[in-house]
Amino acid sequence: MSKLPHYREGLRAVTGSGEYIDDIPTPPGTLYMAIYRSPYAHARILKVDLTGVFEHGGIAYGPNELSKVIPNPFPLAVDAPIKYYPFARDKARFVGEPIAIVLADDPYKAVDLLDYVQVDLEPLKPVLTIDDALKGDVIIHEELKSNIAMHRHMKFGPVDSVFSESPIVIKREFYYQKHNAMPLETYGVLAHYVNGVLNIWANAQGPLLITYFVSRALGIPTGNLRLFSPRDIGGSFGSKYSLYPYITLAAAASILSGRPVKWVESRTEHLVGSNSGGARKGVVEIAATRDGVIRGLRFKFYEDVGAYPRPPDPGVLFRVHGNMNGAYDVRAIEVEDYVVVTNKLPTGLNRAYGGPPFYFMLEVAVNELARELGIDPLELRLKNLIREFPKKIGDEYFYETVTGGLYPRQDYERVVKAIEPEYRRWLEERRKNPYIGVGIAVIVEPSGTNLGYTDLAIEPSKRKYPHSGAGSYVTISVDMSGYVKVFVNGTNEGLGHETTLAEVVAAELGVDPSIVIVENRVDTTRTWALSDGSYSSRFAPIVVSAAILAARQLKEKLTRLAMAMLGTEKVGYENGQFYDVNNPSRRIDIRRIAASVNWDPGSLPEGVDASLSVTVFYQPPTVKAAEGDRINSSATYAIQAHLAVIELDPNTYDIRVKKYVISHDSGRILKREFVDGQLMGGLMHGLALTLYEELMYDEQGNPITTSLDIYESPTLAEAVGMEVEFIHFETPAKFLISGAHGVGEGAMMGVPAAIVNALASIIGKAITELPLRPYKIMKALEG
Amino acid sequence: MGMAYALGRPRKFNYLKASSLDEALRLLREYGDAKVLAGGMSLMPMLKLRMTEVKYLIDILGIDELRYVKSDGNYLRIGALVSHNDVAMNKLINEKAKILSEAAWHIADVQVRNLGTIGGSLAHADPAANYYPALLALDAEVVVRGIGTERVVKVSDLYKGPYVTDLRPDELITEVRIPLSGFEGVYEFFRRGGASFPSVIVAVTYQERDGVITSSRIAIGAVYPEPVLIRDNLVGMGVKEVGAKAVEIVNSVFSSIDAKPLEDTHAPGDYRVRVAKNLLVKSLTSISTGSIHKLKTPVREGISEWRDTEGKVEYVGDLVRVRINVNGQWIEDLVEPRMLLLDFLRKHGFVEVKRGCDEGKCGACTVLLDGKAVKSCMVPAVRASGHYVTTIRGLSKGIELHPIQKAFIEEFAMQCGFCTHGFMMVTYDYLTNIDPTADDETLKLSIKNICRCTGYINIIKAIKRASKYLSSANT
Repeated sequence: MSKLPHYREGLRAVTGSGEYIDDIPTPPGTLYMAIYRSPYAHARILKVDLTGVFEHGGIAYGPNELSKVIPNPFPLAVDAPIKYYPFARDKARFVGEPIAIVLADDPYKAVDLLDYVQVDLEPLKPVLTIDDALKGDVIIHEELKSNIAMHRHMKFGPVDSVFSESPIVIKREFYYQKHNAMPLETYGVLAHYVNGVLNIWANAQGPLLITYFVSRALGIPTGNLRLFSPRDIGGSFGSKYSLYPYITLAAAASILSGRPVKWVESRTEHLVGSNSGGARKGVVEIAATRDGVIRGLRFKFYEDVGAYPRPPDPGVLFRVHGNMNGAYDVRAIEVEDYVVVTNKLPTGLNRAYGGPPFYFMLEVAVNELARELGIDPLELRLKNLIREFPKKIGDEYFYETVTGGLYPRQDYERVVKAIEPEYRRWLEERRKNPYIGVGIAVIVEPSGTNLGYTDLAIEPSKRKYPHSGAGSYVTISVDMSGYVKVFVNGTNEGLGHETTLAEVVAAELGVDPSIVIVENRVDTTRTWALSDGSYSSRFAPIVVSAAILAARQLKEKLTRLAMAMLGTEKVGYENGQFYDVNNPSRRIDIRRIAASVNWDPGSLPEGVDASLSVTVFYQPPTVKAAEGDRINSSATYAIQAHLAVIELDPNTYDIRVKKYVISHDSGRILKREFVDGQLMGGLMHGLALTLYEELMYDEQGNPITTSLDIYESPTLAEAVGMEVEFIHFETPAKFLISGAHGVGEGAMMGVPAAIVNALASIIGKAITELPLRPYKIMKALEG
Repeated sequence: MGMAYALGRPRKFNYLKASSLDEALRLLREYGDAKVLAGGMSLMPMLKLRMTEVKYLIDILGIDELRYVKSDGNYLRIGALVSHNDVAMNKLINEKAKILSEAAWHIADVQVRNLGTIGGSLAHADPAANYYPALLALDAEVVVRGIGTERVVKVSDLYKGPYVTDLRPDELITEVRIPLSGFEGVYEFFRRGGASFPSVIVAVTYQERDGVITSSRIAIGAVYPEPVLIRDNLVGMGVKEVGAKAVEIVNSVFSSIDAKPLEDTHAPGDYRVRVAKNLLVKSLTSISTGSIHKLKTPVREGISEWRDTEGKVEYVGDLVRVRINVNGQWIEDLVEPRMLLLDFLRKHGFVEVKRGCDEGKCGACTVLLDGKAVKSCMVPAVRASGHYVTTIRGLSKGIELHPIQKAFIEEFAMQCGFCTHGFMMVTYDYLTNIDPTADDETLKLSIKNICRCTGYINIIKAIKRASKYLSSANT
């Protein structure tokens, strides 16, 4: 057997030595929290009686007690008079909304005690669909006076003339379902309020705005709030950003009880009460010439964010703001967005945030245009691809989209054409077997979010401050033995960040990765920025850039120290050793420098800095605040082409993926295995949402999807026999220090359209409502 | 009582254990408010999801006299506690009742098949259960015992409705027997995505003489509240004719059914019926063309055992004494009878074992129990008392990795790592006890753990790589 690959997180996984939130030792006296959740989608709370819990040896807090320590609602991203607290105060607005909490010294007992919580509720008529929300017969938030939490209408370029002058205009309507990318590990929090300081351990996605939200709700200044994450997090996919309401609840429980409080969510709670992507209704119109040149795009989106517009939503609409023309050269875009509230689970970040619904609708519509014009869908896409990148910023050329995005120069045509041989081969197969379907999708994957895009939820004239958060801190230091320590205030949800950082920093310093110690977890007692964390595939373009920059600055410091120690003005560097250029036999290695500086800093000449620590903040150069309604919503963008080959079972109407090809250019590849891993994982998340997963509700607003069985989450069995091929191109992104774009989300963005288009090639029409359940296919086949 | 969503842990119950059939029957009579725990693969999830509550659980898994497979006289006889995995793999059952083995291969995953029993499944009477259509098509019977009573019930008379059988509260199924009448058959099955249960099952058996059908049984499961059996409607037709007339036959079969189809999120009623019709057409066509697809799966002699060494359950107040050997070391504790093996292991520091769901599906908590994979969230710790549990730390020797660990890291078969332990443990059982060659067909019928990060591609590669490592180590 061979030597093991360098994969730190993998080694922990196979030896069972990871450290997850539920593995963290609890302080003595820790109480376990269970949450009493609303059984109604919409109901007035008349009375909460907790005496039964106390009579059975537990502790409980209802809205009255919780209000005392959670005095403020969370800040919102929309300009609407809605108050969002982590528990229902006067009215419950979705099934699963916390109303009361109970505490016991054992998790079994805590759950048992929920039986003794007595809540009198007066059920109200729930609002469950986008159409009902728009109708407004029942209002969820009275102060809002409607169920529309946001309405924006934006035009970029000569939309009206393009649409009135184009000979071809097609229009398609779509529905994208509510679903949750669902990590295997559920939420967990350990809160301990002691001496006025709130200590939180949570499997959060980073410090980012979570600390800010919790601080605001509790009225505890950020200086007295310490957030830590465990070393390992069992997946997140955006979901664990929405942990903050539960962090706040556990913190309140600790403040009220004076005890450490632990809470680990059940799977059922996760499906009912954690987080999801929003359901969306969309209308897409494409204006084109008869030979298939796309001239203009019109989008109308109705986003259902559930009971509260929970930040960062409605960012889901604006995450793709800079790339609404997809991979195509389109200079006229109109978008009208409605954000509606319904009596369902509130939404939040979900892998590929905003990308899957957007590209599902755009790329199916583009396919429909090709079908209507009788043009091969690959030909039509090739015809419209961006080829010119005229805008120069620094050393890089960009295509500036009409909405403000900055696409760095890449050879889109080459990447898209790479799927062509396989595409043609399977079209041949299709002639022999009518149950084989072939579909494609082309997308531009945004990565490295500009937090400023959430400002688009507010009219430009009403915005108070500009925002453009995107950067990250990285600290690198050398200890007395020459070990290089890297600290990132981020989180490890399985993306291999420790391994990658060790390799990148080791390469930069010319040392072996084994002496690079990486700590990648949240610790707000150390330096952190509002934008720090793991989201929007920002690790490769931003965090790695910061790490490289920090390693370079550290090397400069070491060089100056080597110059002082070797007593020369000219030093060279190789393999971890500095040498006197005039006399190469005079050498000093990093370890020796580190030891000397630690043991004998007094001998350094005056003016030589003895610090062996560097902290760098890297903000990607392309990320700026919005100008009006134009914004570069992501640090960078990368081209990706998908080919889906499916087989339809004529007896069961079920779809099986035979082959899936992704061709892409994500810039410099930092570690091939991890890039492949992101593509494979994103592909399966895409298939899960396209074919299976939906958070469903009945007519009363009761969640139907309360188990993995009902969610139909694919198991290993569903992947056996599926062939996957990735075609990598590697054009370094010169404007980013790392040279790398993000790659964690594009796969999931392209899959829904590729599969729907593949099915359309079999059944002769596009099913535009997800997920593609077999009975829908049966109905479509029957006409 | 409020709606409970904080699930995954059962309410309190008392735990009793029977080591003989007589003792079990006596306990059943003595404790009126009791439920029988055979494999527990349906009952444990219901308890954990707090859908049902029991005062007493009577564990019968230790009754060895109900664990046998034999062919004698006119019957293939299967003891009620024979596990699904044994029904799937036992050579005799494969020879004499292939469609029953196929039905067993389609049950859940290897962990569930290791503990779940044929008698338990029949007694639970889920309308989507895999066995009923196969046994109906095979004209099987069950032997039912009470104190001083014994009766034989046709499987077609056993099922009285969803979760209702002909069993009296103080009776147990002790044997399933299948007439050795040489039925040829087809078993067709449709399950949607990661759903736990099938949406449609079709089983067809027939006997022929000189190309003419002399007897036939068509069974349809999971489509209606009760499995449907149509007897002898093909009699007199030529085997070849059945294919040509398939659509006609199927339409007449379904027009004779006067029941409202089941509906759930996986499949609406009209769709279920349509798929059942299609699969029946497919079955009849395959019979007429002699192209019946049979699962190519490994078989083995004998059946597995459940060694119960502990004897009586020792109560100390409301708690029970539990002694479990974990990775070679005996661990003793006083716990509530309801404490799950998962929580017992985590409490004692084996935090590599993970909780990923409430329903016993995801497999993150998989460990080896007496060398076979089980989901530790589906086993009360007290049931495992006296038994041997192995986690990955028991497979690796010190710092030297086990070949499965090596294969997983070499194929980068993990991302967040939360599912990895469960996957490695089920892989061990699969490659050791089910199929060392890791063939695609057995793999997709056996390992159905859930991973949310990797897309499974690298896990599949790792399982195949581990298969090579282990087979080269064995030669």
